[in-house]
Amino acid sequence: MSQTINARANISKGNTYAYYAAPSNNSDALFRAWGKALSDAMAYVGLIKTNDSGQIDWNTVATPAAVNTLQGYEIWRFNDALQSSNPVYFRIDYGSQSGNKLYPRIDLQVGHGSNGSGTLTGLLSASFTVAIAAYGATLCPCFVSSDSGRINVAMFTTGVTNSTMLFYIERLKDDSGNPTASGVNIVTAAAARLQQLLPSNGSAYPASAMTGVQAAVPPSGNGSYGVNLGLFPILPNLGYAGNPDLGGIVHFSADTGSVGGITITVNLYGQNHTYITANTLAANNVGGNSTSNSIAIRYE
Amino acid sequence: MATSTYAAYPSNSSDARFRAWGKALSDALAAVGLVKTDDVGQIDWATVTRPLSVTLSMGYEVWRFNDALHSSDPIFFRISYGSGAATTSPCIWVTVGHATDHAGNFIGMTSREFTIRCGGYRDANTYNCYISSDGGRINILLFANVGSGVSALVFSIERLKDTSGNPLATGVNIITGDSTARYQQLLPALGSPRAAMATYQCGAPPSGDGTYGTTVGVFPILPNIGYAGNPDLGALCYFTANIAGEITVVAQLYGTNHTYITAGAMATGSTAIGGNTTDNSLAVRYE
Repeated sequence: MSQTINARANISKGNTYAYYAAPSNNSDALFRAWGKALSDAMAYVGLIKTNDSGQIDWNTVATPAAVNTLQGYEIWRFNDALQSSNPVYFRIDYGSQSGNKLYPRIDLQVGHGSNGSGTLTGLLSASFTVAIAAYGATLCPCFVSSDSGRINVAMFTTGVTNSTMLFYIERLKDDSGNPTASGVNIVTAAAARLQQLLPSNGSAYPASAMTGVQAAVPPSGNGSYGVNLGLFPILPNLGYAGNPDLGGIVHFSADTGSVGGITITVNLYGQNHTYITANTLAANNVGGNSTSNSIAIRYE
Repeated sequence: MATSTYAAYPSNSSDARFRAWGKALSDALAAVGLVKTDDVGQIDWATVTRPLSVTLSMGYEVWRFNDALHSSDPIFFRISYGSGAATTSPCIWVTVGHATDHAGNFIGMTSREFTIRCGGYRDANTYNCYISSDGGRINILLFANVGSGVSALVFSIERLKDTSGNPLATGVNIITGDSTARYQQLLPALGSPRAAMATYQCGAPPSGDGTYGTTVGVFPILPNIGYAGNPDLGALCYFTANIAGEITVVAQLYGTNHTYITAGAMATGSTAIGGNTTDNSLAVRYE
């Protein structure tokens, strides 16, 4: 099976890259397909793959032969003007979920540099496991976007139940929504949701990533009221709730549909921003509210 | 803006004690600029007796806002005075609406009736109470820092805000907190009220206590308009490990400093905010 069968060519240009892939490690080709497609997308949207030695070779890597196995890594970095004052590097490992080797998984860690051989340096985030609890042969839409100073990834937004993998890394915002060099907020979501702040100085906060995301959702209900549908930006945890991220927005499935992949436009900081909704996530509780919900990921 | 503070025993152990905390609250509502309506049958503080059974109202008052927006979005609230789970434990019931029939009954859309009650009583010491208003809101903290066994009582009714924090005629957000329950409800000027929610909508972190370095987090409450509306000024959530009870907190919201008094430990039951069960409470606007 060739890669082109399982990862169609991109269908959009610029800061965005959309493709299809099957959420499956059921063959070498399938594993390579979803992994390489993500890798290609990150390069396409302007991130820089470092020259660290020992990075995964998509031509030769084999699918995980066991559960909970990582087959290789890549190191990427931002490429924006703030990179000089607050460099952001992240390591992404590709492999299998802890309970089933066929279920895709990535591990994500963010730092401020790398040692040239795959080890992040400087202040480090937690290592985020973004693993799904399903697999399937269906080609599912995936969306990646960046402006070189962020990365927003929504994989398998619809098509195979419980297969959605989401993550973003975005710089903290000022009052007008402009990126700052004070740190990044990291959010991941799949079978679990995690959030952590990695500041430019100090230490990651909290020391262990929060299980769940910080958003001002209602404690009950689905956020609809009359003609209004509620969407809830994720807030970095600076002790207090920081200025909203642009990277992801919590949405209730009853309002936007339990099937993801829908484009929505949201005005934040006085400007319209584009998001892609995702299937209802397996880890549902947000802000104490267990009404079915998911996270829409910035795509622009 | 007007404030009123006084000390009272959180107790119905005698007629005098019951009248004392009830009348003091009533007097404070008038002192901060609200208007008591002419509805008939309102409680007579000179003659009313203490409740002799549990969960018993001994009478009510009806008050209304007194600001420029009252003509376009009139706000009335009925407050009843009585006993909670014990005859000796103070309790108030609050309902908010847009008009009354002059006999203590609301006409048209109303909020739910909120029960706000102490979990016990104290006869040994008085506790401070803080009331404030500008005629277009009411922010009440009774028995500050009395502790979770009795619990401070909180309720706040504030008009919805524009993006600069100015009051609007589009509705009010109602916040209550006591020994056992927390509620938040939107009563719009038109349409239908939102269902009351059994805790607050705020941007609290899902875990932890909101401290980060030298930063201590406080979390404004957001009206539930489907989406999260512009923050209320009426009350802030905070984690009790970070700030003691009955402390004055100055928080900048909408670019302006606002003054709050922390309630101290409140509910002993369900206390989660944002899904976070770390002990927390409310700071109530007092300015």
